[in-house]
Amino acid sequence: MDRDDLLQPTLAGHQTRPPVDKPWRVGSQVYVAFFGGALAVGAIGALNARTLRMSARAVAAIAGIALAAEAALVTAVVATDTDEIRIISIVAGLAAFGGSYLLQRSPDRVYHFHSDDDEPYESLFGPGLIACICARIIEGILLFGVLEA
Amino acid sequence: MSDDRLEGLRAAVELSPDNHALRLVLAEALAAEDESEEALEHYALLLEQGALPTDELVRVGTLAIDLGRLQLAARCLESARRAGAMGGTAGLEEALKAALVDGGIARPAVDPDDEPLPMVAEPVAPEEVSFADVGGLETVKKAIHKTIVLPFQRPDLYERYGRRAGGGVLLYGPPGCGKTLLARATAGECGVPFLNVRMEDVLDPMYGVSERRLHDAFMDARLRSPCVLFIDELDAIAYARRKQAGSAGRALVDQLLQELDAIGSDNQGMLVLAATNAPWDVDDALKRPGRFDRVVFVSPPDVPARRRILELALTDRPQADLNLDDLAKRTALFSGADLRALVERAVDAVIDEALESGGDVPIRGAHLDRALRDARATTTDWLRTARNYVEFANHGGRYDDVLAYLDSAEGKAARKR
Amino acid sequence: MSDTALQAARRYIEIGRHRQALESLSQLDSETAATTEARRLRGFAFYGIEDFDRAADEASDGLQDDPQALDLLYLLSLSEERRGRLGEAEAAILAALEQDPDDAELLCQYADVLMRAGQLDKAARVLDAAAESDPDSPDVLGSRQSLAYLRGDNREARRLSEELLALDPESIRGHRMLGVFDINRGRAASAAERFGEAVRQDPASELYAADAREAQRMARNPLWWPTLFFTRVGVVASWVGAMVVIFGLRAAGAATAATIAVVAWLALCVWSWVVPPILNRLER
Repeated sequence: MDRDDLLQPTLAGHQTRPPVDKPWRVGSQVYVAFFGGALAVGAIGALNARTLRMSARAVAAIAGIALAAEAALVTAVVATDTDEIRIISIVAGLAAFGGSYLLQRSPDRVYHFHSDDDEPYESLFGPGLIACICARIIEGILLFGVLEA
Repeated sequence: MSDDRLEGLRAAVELSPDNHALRLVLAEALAAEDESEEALEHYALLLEQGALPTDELVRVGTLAIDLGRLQLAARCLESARRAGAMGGTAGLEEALKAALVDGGIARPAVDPDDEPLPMVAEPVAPEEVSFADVGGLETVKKAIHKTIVLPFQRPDLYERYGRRAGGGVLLYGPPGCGKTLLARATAGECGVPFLNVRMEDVLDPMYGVSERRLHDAFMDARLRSPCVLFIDELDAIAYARRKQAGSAGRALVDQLLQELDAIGSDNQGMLVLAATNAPWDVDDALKRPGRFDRVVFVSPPDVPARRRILELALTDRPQADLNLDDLAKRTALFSGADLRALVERAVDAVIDEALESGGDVPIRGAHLDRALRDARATTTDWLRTARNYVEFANHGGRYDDVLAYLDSAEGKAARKR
Repeated sequence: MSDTALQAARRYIEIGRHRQALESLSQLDSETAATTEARRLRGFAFYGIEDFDRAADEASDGLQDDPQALDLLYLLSLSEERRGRLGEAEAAILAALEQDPDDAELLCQYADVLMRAGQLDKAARVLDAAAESDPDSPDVLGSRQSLAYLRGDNREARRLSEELLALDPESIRGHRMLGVFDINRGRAASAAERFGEAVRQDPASELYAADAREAQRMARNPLWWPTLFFTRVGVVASWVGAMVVIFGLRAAGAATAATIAVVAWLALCVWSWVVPPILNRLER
C-alpha cells in the first residue's frame, strides 16, 4: 500500500464511548462458562463484544462458537448416552469461552489501555448469574427434549 | 640574555606566530629582562589561544595586576580556576579585589567589550534579614544553622575535623513556603551579601548565552565572596540531563557542575544555596559530594509561622477582634502565598462592605472565616507528589525529612486530602 | 518582560512544569499573547494539565492565523484524541502529514489515533512507514510496543519493552509494560519494582503511584497470594489443569479426592473473585 492510500481518512465521525458504557472483564467470563455453560458464556461474550464496539461479524462469531459448542454438547450426550452431562457441559462452556476470549482480547486491551477510569469494568456478578440460570434452564429443556426424543 | 638573542627570538616568533612554545620562551625572556609590558602582550596572546600553561596562569595574573591590566588578570584567574591550578589562586583573587577597590572599579569585565556583568545587581552590603524575621519553622532554622551557618562562622573549628565551610546546600519543598526568605535569612545570619540568580536571568535561546550568563553570575559572586549565591528554581536550570531531549539544556547543567567544582577546589567561604520544588528532577550529578550534597526540607509553615505571616499580611490594615492564633491553627498546610491570598479575599469582602455602608469597616474574624471556606491549601499537590516519590525512591534516606513530615499530624492531614 | 515570560514558559514546558508555564504566559501583553508561539505554548501547557478542551481551543485559534502550523496541527490532533473525537484528531494529523508525510513523530501520532479507534492493521502499516523514515526513533519503538500489546502479542510487546529499556534504562513505557506482564503473571513483587521505577521518573502521576502501591500491597499481603497463584498460572491453563486433575481423579476412581479437589478449586475461584475487591476497598 503506498503512502497516499495510507494517509486517507478512515475515522470520520468516530467517537469513543461515553464513560457510562463499560464492558465486563473478559477473564471473568470463565466463571460464566464454568457455571453456565456454552450458551451463557456465548450470550455474555456477544453482549460484551457489542459494548466493545466489535464488528457485527465478530459478535456473530462469538455467538456462533457458543452455539457450535452447545450443539457439540448435545451431540455428545446423545451419541454417548452418558450420565456425565455436567462434565461435558463444563468442557463445552470452556471451549466456547476460549474462542470468545481470543476474539475479545484485542478490543478489550484497546479499551483498557486507553481508559482513564479508576474502575474501567462493570461487575459481571449480576448479569453473569442471570445468564447462568437462564442458560441452564434452556440447556436443560433442550437436552430433556432431545433425550426424550 | 643579550639583546641580540632577544631580537632573534622576536624575529623567530614573527616568522612562526603559531609556535606557542617559542612565544612562551620569548615572553619569559622579556619578563626576565624587565620588558614586562611586551612580555604581557605575548602572554595575553597565549592565553587567548588557550596555550598558556596552567602553572604560569597565577604568575601572569600577578604581573597583569602589577601593570594595571585587571581585565587580563581576571581572565588568568578564571582560567586558573577552570584548570584546577594548585595554589595561588586565592592570593591572586585577593590581589585583584584589592586592585579593583583601589582603582574604584565596581567589578572587572571579563569579556573584551568591557560589557558589565549583566546578572547580579544586588548591593554589596551584607544581607539584613535574619532568622528572627522568619516566623516559626524552628526545626528548619536549626537544621540550616547547624549545616550552614555554624561551619561558616567557625571555619577553624570545622576545618580541624576535616570539614569545610561553604559549598552547596539545596532547599526543597512546596512552592510559596519561604525557601527564598530562608536563603536570604541564612545570608543575614552569616553576615554576608545575598546574590539572587533567577531562571529568567540565566536562560536565553541563543546558543551559549545561558552558560555564559551563569558563569558571569558565579564570577561576580566569587569576586564578592564571602557571600551567599542563591539559585532559585534549580530544577529549571539543572533539569536532569537523562530526561532532556536536546543538548542545549545539558550544556547548562555541565556549566553549573564546572562552576560548583571550581568553588569546591578553592574555599573562599562562598556559599551556594539553591531552591527547588522538585528535587527529584534536579540532575543527579548535582547532588553528589562537593556540590549540593546537603538537602534541607522546608515544610509548609507551622502554626507559629502561619501566625506571623497572617500578622504581616494584616499589618497597617484596619482590624478588630481577630484571633490569629485560632486562624493559624485552622489553616494547616497553607503556604505563605495561600495565607496572603486568604487575607486579600477577606479584604475584598471588607471593601465591598465599606462601599455599601459608606463607612470604615475593620477586618474581623468573620471575614476571614468566610474567605477560609473557599480557600484551599496549594501545598497538598506537592505533598502528594513527594509522598509518591519518597515511597518508591528514598534510597539512602536523602528525603527522610519529608517522610517525617508526612508522618506528622499535619502530614497525615495532607494524605487525607 | 514578554520575551522573558515566553522564554520562561518554553523552559517550564520542556521540563513539564505546565502550571508554571501558564503563570508565565499570563504575564504576556495582549499582542504577544495572541501570537502563534504563545498559543502553541499555552496549548501545550493546557494539554500538560489535561485540560484538553482548552488545549484544542488554543490550537484551533492559532490555526486560524496560521493554518499550516505543524506544531498546532499536532497539538490539535493530540487534544482531540484525548477528547474522544477521533475523526477530528485524524483530520488534524493528516493535515500535518500532508506537509511532511515522512515525519516519524507525526506518523506515530496518527498510529496512536488509529490504535485508540481499534484500527490496528492500519496502525501497523502507518508504523511501518514511520520506521522506514526513522528506524531509530524511540517514538516508533514505543508505538510498536503499544500495538503489539493491543494485538495480544505479549511476546513481541515484551521484546519491544526490553528494547526500549536497552535504549533508555529509565523508560517509563518499558517499565510499565513489563510491570503489567509481571502482575498478570502473579509476580507482584517484580511488578511493584517496575511500577515503582515509573513513579521515580514521574512522581506527579497518581496513576503510576496507584499501580505501584497496589502491586506492593499484593506482594506483601498474604491474603492476595491465592489470587496471585491463580494469575501466575493463567486463566485458561488453570481451568484446564483443574478440570484435568478433577476428572482424572474421578476416572481413576478416587471420588473423594476428586470432590476435595472440586471444593478446593471452587474455594480458590470464589476467593480470587470476592476477596480482591474487598481488599482494594479496605486498603484504599
